[in-house]
Amino acid sequence: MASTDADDHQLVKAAQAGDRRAFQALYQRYERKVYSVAYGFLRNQEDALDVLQEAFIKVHRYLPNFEGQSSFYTWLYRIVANLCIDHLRRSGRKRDVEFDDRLRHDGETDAAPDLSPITALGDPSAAVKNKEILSAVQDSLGKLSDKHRAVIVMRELQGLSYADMAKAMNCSKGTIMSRLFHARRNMQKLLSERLEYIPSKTEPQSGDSMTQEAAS
Amino acid sequence: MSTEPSTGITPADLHAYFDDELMPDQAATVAEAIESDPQLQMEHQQLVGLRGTVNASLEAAAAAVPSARFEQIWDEIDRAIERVSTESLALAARRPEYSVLSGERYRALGLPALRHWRDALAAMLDDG
Repeated sequence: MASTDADDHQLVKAAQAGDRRAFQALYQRYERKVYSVAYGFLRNQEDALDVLQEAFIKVHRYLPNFEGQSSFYTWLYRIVANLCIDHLRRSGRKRDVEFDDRLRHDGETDAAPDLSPITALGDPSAAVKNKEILSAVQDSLGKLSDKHRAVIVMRELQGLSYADMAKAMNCSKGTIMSRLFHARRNMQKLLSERLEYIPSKTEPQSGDSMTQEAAS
Repeated sequence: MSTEPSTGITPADLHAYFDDELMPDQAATVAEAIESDPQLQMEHQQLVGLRGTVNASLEAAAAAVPSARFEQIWDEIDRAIERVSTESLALAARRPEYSVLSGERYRALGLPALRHWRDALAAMLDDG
Protein backbone atom coordinates (compact mmCIF):
# COMPACT_ATOMS: atom_id res chain seq x y z
CA MET A 1 0.00 0.00 0.00
CA ALA A 2 2.87 2.33 -0.68
CA SER A 3 1.52 5.70 -1.63
CA THR A 4 3.21 7.34 -4.53
CA ASP A 5 3.32 10.92 -5.70
CA ALA A 6 1.58 9.87 -8.92
CA ASP A 7 -1.37 8.36 -7.04
CA ASP A 8 -1.56 11.44 -4.86
CA HIS A 9 -1.50 13.68 -7.87
CA GLN A 10 -4.47 11.92 -9.45
CA LEU A 11 -6.46 12.00 -6.24
CA VAL A 12 -5.64 15.68 -5.74
CA LYS A 13 -6.81 16.50 -9.27
CA ALA A 14 -10.06 14.62 -8.73
CA ALA A 15 -10.60 16.22 -5.33
CA GLN A 16 -9.98 19.65 -6.85
CA ALA A 17 -12.69 18.89 -9.36
CA GLY A 18 -15.05 18.30 -6.45
CA ASP A 19 -14.82 14.52 -6.10
CA ARG A 20 -15.51 14.00 -2.40
CA ARG A 21 -14.53 10.34 -2.56
CA ALA A 22 -11.11 11.17 -3.94
CA PHE A 23 -10.68 13.56 -1.05
CA GLN A 24 -11.69 10.83 1.35
CA ALA A 25 -9.13 8.52 -0.24
CA LEU A 26 -6.44 11.13 0.42
CA TYR A 27 -7.57 11.30 4.02
CA GLN A 28 -7.46 7.54 4.40
CA ARG A 29 -4.04 7.40 2.87
CA TYR A 30 -2.59 9.89 5.33
CA GLU A 31 -4.75 9.64 8.46
CA ARG A 32 -2.31 7.56 10.50
CA LYS A 33 0.74 9.31 9.21
CA VAL A 34 -0.66 12.72 10.11
CA TYR A 35 -1.80 11.37 13.44
CA SER A 36 1.65 10.05 14.30
CA VAL A 37 3.19 13.41 13.46
CA ALA A 38 0.64 15.31 15.55
CA TYR A 39 0.99 12.81 18.37
CA GLY A 40 4.75 13.28 18.24
CA PHE A 41 4.33 17.02 18.68
CA LEU A 42 1.51 17.03 21.21
CA ARG A 43 1.77 13.74 23.14
CA ASN A 44 -1.97 13.47 23.52
CA GLN A 45 -4.41 11.38 21.51
CA GLU A 46 -7.33 13.79 21.49
CA ASP A 47 -5.19 16.80 20.60
CA ALA A 48 -3.58 14.82 17.81
CA LEU A 49 -6.99 13.81 16.43
CA ASP A 50 -8.11 17.45 16.60
CA VAL A 51 -5.12 18.46 14.53
CA LEU A 52 -5.85 15.70 12.02
CA GLN A 53 -9.38 17.04 11.64
CA GLU A 54 -8.31 20.67 11.36
CA ALA A 55 -5.59 19.78 8.89
CA PHE A 56 -7.94 18.11 6.44
CA ILE A 57 -10.53 20.85 6.71
CA LYS A 58 -7.75 23.28 5.86
CA VAL A 59 -6.47 21.09 3.05
CA HIS A 60 -9.96 21.03 1.60
CA ARG A 61 -10.29 24.78 1.82
CA TYR A 62 -6.96 25.50 0.15
CA LEU A 63 -6.98 22.62 -2.28
CA PRO A 64 -8.13 24.86 -5.16
CA ASN A 65 -4.93 26.92 -4.68
CA PHE A 66 -2.63 23.93 -4.52
CA GLU A 67 -0.74 23.90 -7.79
CA GLY A 68 1.52 21.00 -7.09
CA GLN A 69 4.92 22.71 -7.10
CA SER A 70 5.69 20.50 -4.13
CA SER A 71 4.34 17.04 -3.53
CA PHE A 72 1.01 16.75 -1.79
CA TYR A 73 2.48 15.22 1.35
CA THR A 74 5.09 17.98 1.73
CA TRP A 75 2.28 20.51 1.50
CA LEU A 76 0.12 18.51 3.92
CA TYR A 77 2.99 18.11 6.38
CA ARG A 78 3.69 21.82 6.37
CA ILE A 79 0.06 22.45 7.26
CA VAL A 80 0.20 19.84 10.01
CA ALA A 81 3.45 21.21 11.45
CA ASN A 82 2.01 24.72 11.49
CA LEU A 83 -1.16 23.58 13.22
CA CYS A 84 0.81 21.70 15.86
CA ILE A 85 3.09 24.66 16.51
CA ASP A 86 0.05 26.95 16.79
CA HIS A 87 -1.51 24.46 19.15
CA LEU A 88 1.56 24.46 21.38
CA ARG A 89 1.69 28.26 21.36
CA ARG A 90 -1.99 28.60 22.14
CA SER A 91 -1.85 26.14 24.98
CA GLY A 92 1.08 28.26 26.23
CA ARG A 93 3.00 25.44 27.70
CA LYS A 94 5.40 26.69 30.30
CA ARG A 95 7.99 24.07 29.46
CA ASP A 96 8.57 25.69 26.15
CA VAL A 97 10.18 28.70 27.76
CA GLU A 98 12.14 26.64 30.19
CA PHE A 99 14.24 24.74 27.65
CA ASP A 100 14.79 26.72 24.52
CA ASP A 101 18.34 26.28 23.25
CA ARG A 102 20.14 26.81 26.49
CA LEU A 103 22.29 23.78 25.96
CA ARG A 104 23.70 25.27 22.83
CA HIS A 105 26.94 26.53 24.30
CA ASP A 106 27.84 23.93 26.88
CA GLY A 107 29.93 22.09 24.34
CA GLU A 108 32.07 20.33 26.93
CA THR A 109 29.33 18.47 28.71
CA ASP A 110 27.55 17.92 25.45
CA ALA A 111 29.93 15.31 24.15
CA ALA A 112 28.39 12.32 22.47
CA PRO A 113 27.36 9.93 25.23
CA ASP A 114 27.78 6.20 25.00
CA LEU A 115 25.01 5.40 22.61
CA SER A 116 25.72 1.81 21.87
CA PRO A 117 22.35 0.66 23.29
CA ILE A 118 20.54 2.43 20.47
CA THR A 119 22.55 0.85 17.71
CA ALA A 120 22.23 -2.49 19.47
CA LEU A 121 18.48 -2.37 18.99
CA GLY A 122 18.71 -3.58 15.42
CA ASP A 123 15.60 -3.25 13.30
CA PRO A 124 13.60 -0.46 14.98
CA SER A 125 10.12 -1.62 14.00
CA ALA A 126 10.89 -5.06 15.45
CA ALA A 127 12.47 -3.49 18.55
CA VAL A 128 9.44 -1.36 19.45
CA LYS A 129 7.30 -4.50 19.57
CA ASN A 130 8.99 -4.96 22.92
CA LYS A 131 6.74 -2.90 25.19
CA GLU A 132 9.60 -1.82 27.46
CA ILE A 133 11.56 -0.47 24.54
CA LEU A 134 8.51 1.24 23.12
CA SER A 135 7.79 3.01 26.38
CA ALA A 136 11.48 3.90 26.76
CA VAL A 137 11.35 5.67 23.39
CA GLN A 138 8.05 7.35 24.10
CA ASP A 139 9.08 8.51 27.58
CA SER A 140 12.33 9.90 26.22
CA LEU A 141 10.46 11.82 23.53
CA GLY A 142 8.09 13.07 26.21
CA LYS A 143 10.98 14.43 28.27
CA LEU A 144 12.26 16.64 25.46
CA SER A 145 11.19 20.26 25.36
CA ASP A 146 8.39 21.08 22.94
CA LYS A 147 10.85 22.76 20.60
CA HIS A 148 13.27 19.88 20.61
CA ARG A 149 10.51 17.39 20.05
CA ALA A 150 9.12 19.54 17.26
CA VAL A 151 12.38 19.54 15.30
CA ILE A 152 12.85 15.81 15.83
CA VAL A 153 9.36 15.06 14.52
CA MET A 154 9.60 17.48 11.60
CA ARG A 155 12.93 16.09 10.49
CA GLU A 156 12.87 12.39 11.38
CA LEU A 157 9.23 11.61 10.73
CA GLN A 158 8.11 14.25 8.26
CA GLY A 159 11.39 14.65 6.44
CA LEU A 160 10.98 18.43 6.15
CA SER A 161 13.99 20.40 4.92
CA TYR A 162 15.84 22.78 7.25
CA ALA A 163 14.34 25.67 5.27
CA ASP A 164 10.78 24.39 5.72
CA MET A 165 11.39 23.80 9.41
CA ALA A 166 12.77 27.32 9.82
CA LYS A 167 9.66 28.72 8.19
CA ALA A 168 7.37 26.64 10.41
CA MET A 169 9.20 27.67 13.58
CA ASN A 170 9.70 31.23 12.46
CA CYS A 171 13.45 31.23 12.99
CA SER A 172 16.67 31.02 11.00
CA LYS A 173 18.09 27.91 9.38
CA GLY A 174 21.07 28.18 11.70
CA THR A 175 18.78 28.02 14.72
CA ILE A 176 17.10 24.95 13.29
CA MET A 177 20.44 23.21 12.74
CA SER A 178 21.59 23.91 16.25
CA ARG A 179 18.22 23.02 17.75
CA LEU A 180 18.09 19.75 15.84
CA PHE A 181 21.64 18.89 16.81
CA HIS A 182 20.94 19.34 20.50
CA ALA A 183 17.54 17.74 20.29
CA ARG A 184 19.14 14.61 18.88
CA ARG A 185 21.88 14.64 21.49
CA ASN A 186 19.32 14.97 24.27
CA MET A 187 17.14 12.27 22.81
CA GLN A 188 20.09 9.93 22.38
CA LYS A 189 21.19 10.54 25.93
CA LEU A 190 17.73 10.06 27.43
CA LEU A 191 17.08 6.98 25.38
CA SER A 192 20.38 5.23 26.02
CA GLU A 193 20.00 5.86 29.74
CA ARG A 194 16.58 4.25 29.66
CA LEU A 195 17.72 1.36 27.51
CA GLU A 196 20.56 0.52 29.90
CA TYR A 197 17.94 -0.77 32.29
CA ILE A 198 16.31 -3.10 29.84
CA PRO A 199 18.41 -6.24 30.00
CA SER A 200 16.54 -8.13 27.32
CA LYS A 201 16.70 -5.37 24.74
CA THR A 202 18.94 -7.09 22.26
CA GLU A 203 17.08 -10.37 22.28
CA PRO A 204 14.19 -10.30 19.89
CA GLN A 205 11.21 -11.64 21.75
CA SER A 206 7.74 -12.60 20.85
CA GLY A 207 4.91 -11.49 23.07
CA ASP A 208 4.55 -15.06 24.31
CA SER A 209 8.03 -15.47 25.70
CA MET A 210 7.60 -12.16 27.52
CA THR A 211 4.43 -13.39 29.12
CA GLN A 212 6.16 -16.58 30.16
CA GLU A 213 8.99 -14.66 31.73
CA ALA A 214 6.59 -12.43 33.57
CA ALA A 215 4.74 -15.47 34.86
CA SER A 216 7.82 -17.30 36.09
CA MET B 1 33.36 11.52 23.26
CA SER B 2 33.10 12.85 19.76
CA THR B 3 36.73 13.31 18.95
CA GLU B 4 37.39 16.12 16.55
CA PRO B 5 37.98 13.60 13.82
CA SER B 6 41.11 13.51 11.76
CA THR B 7 38.96 13.82 8.67
CA GLY B 8 37.94 17.36 9.66
CA ILE B 9 34.28 16.47 9.50
CA THR B 10 32.39 18.14 12.33
CA PRO B 11 29.31 16.65 13.99
CA ALA B 12 27.32 19.44 12.34
CA ASP B 13 28.58 18.29 8.91
CA LEU B 14 27.55 14.76 9.74
CA HIS B 15 24.03 15.81 10.70
CA ALA B 16 23.66 17.94 7.58
CA TYR B 17 24.87 15.00 5.48
CA PHE B 18 22.43 12.67 7.19
CA ASP B 19 19.64 15.19 6.54
CA ASP B 20 20.42 15.57 2.84
CA GLU B 21 21.26 19.23 3.26
CA LEU B 22 24.72 19.23 1.68
CA MET B 23 25.72 20.06 -1.86
CA PRO B 24 26.69 16.93 -3.82
CA ASP B 25 30.45 17.52 -3.58
CA GLN B 26 30.31 18.20 0.17
CA ALA B 27 28.15 15.12 0.62
CA ALA B 28 30.69 13.03 -1.27
CA THR B 29 33.48 14.25 1.03
CA VAL B 30 31.48 13.31 4.12
CA ALA B 31 30.52 9.93 2.68
CA GLU B 32 34.18 9.19 2.04
CA ALA B 33 35.15 10.24 5.54
CA ILE B 34 32.48 7.99 7.03
CA GLU B 35 33.93 5.07 5.09
CA SER B 36 37.39 5.61 6.48
CA ASP B 37 36.67 6.71 10.05
CA PRO B 38 35.12 4.15 12.42
CA GLN B 39 34.14 6.87 14.90
CA LEU B 40 32.20 8.78 12.26
CA GLN B 41 30.72 5.54 11.07
CA MET B 42 29.40 4.82 14.53
CA GLU B 43 27.97 8.29 14.95
CA HIS B 44 26.25 7.96 11.59
CA GLN B 45 24.81 4.61 12.64
CA GLN B 46 23.46 6.22 15.78
CA LEU B 47 21.66 8.85 13.76
CA VAL B 48 20.17 6.12 11.59
CA GLY B 49 19.17 4.17 14.69
CA LEU B 50 17.60 7.19 16.37
CA ARG B 51 15.54 8.12 13.33
CA GLY B 52 14.34 4.56 12.89
CA THR B 53 13.45 4.18 16.54
CA VAL B 54 11.59 7.50 16.80
CA ASN B 55 9.62 6.75 13.66
CA ALA B 56 8.78 3.21 14.71
CA SER B 57 7.55 4.37 18.10
CA LEU B 58 5.30 7.08 16.65
CA GLU B 59 3.97 4.70 14.04
CA ALA B 60 3.20 2.24 16.82
CA ALA B 61 1.28 5.02 18.62
CA ALA B 62 -0.79 5.59 15.49
CA ALA B 63 -1.37 1.88 14.97
CA ALA B 64 -2.83 1.69 18.47
CA VAL B 65 -5.71 4.04 17.54
CA PRO B 66 -8.75 2.03 16.43
CA SER B 67 -9.91 2.60 12.84
CA ALA B 68 -13.33 3.63 14.13
CA ARG B 69 -11.77 6.79 15.60
CA PHE B 70 -10.37 7.74 12.23
CA GLU B 71 -13.76 7.14 10.66
CA GLN B 72 -15.38 9.40 13.23
CA ILE B 73 -12.88 12.12 12.44
CA TRP B 74 -13.67 11.72 8.75
CA ASP B 75 -17.37 12.19 9.51
CA GLU B 76 -16.53 15.42 11.34
CA ILE B 77 -14.47 16.64 8.41
CA ASP B 78 -17.21 15.69 5.99
CA ARG B 79 -19.79 17.63 8.00
CA ALA B 80 -17.51 20.66 8.22
CA ILE B 81 -16.97 20.63 4.46
CA GLU B 82 -20.69 20.32 3.92
CA ARG B 83 -21.32 23.29 6.21
CA VAL B 84 -18.79 25.42 4.38
CA SER B 85 -20.22 24.65 0.97
CA THR B 86 -23.74 25.43 2.20
CA GLU B 87 -22.51 28.72 3.61
CA SER B 88 -20.79 29.66 0.39
CA LEU B 89 -24.01 28.95 -1.50
CA ALA B 90 -25.84 31.26 0.90
CA LEU B 91 -23.22 33.94 0.39
CA ALA B 92 -23.72 33.74 -3.32
CA ALA B 93 -27.36 34.84 -2.96
CA ARG B 94 -28.17 37.84 -5.13
CA ARG B 95 -28.22 41.11 -3.22
CA PRO B 96 -30.95 43.66 -3.92
CA GLU B 97 -29.69 46.30 -6.30
CA TYR B 98 -30.67 49.15 -4.03
CA SER B 99 -30.48 48.30 -0.33
CA VAL B 100 -30.41 51.57 1.61
CA LEU B 101 -32.55 51.21 4.72
CA SER B 102 -35.50 53.37 3.83
CA GLY B 103 -37.77 52.75 6.81
CA GLU B 104 -40.66 52.50 4.42
CA ARG B 105 -41.72 49.05 5.58
CA TYR B 106 -41.34 50.13 9.16
CA ARG B 107 -43.73 53.03 8.70
CA ALA B 108 -46.10 50.82 6.75
CA LEU B 109 -46.43 48.69 9.89
CA GLY B 110 -47.79 51.75 11.69
CA LEU B 111 -44.92 51.93 14.21
CA PRO B 112 -43.96 55.27 15.76
CA ALA B 113 -41.46 57.30 13.71
CA LEU B 114 -37.80 56.64 14.48
CA ARG B 115 -35.63 59.43 15.84
CA HIS B 116 -32.79 60.73 13.74
CA TRP B 117 -29.73 58.62 14.56
CA ARG B 118 -27.89 61.70 15.88
CA ASP B 119 -30.60 62.29 18.49
CA ALA B 120 -30.57 58.63 19.49
CA LEU B 121 -26.80 58.68 19.87
CA ALA B 122 -26.85 61.87 21.93
CA ALA B 123 -29.51 60.37 24.20
CA MET B 124 -27.42 57.29 24.71
CA LEU B 125 -24.32 59.31 25.56
CA ASP B 126 -26.31 61.39 28.04
CA ASP B 127 -27.55 58.23 29.67
CA GLY B 128 -24.04 57.03 30.28
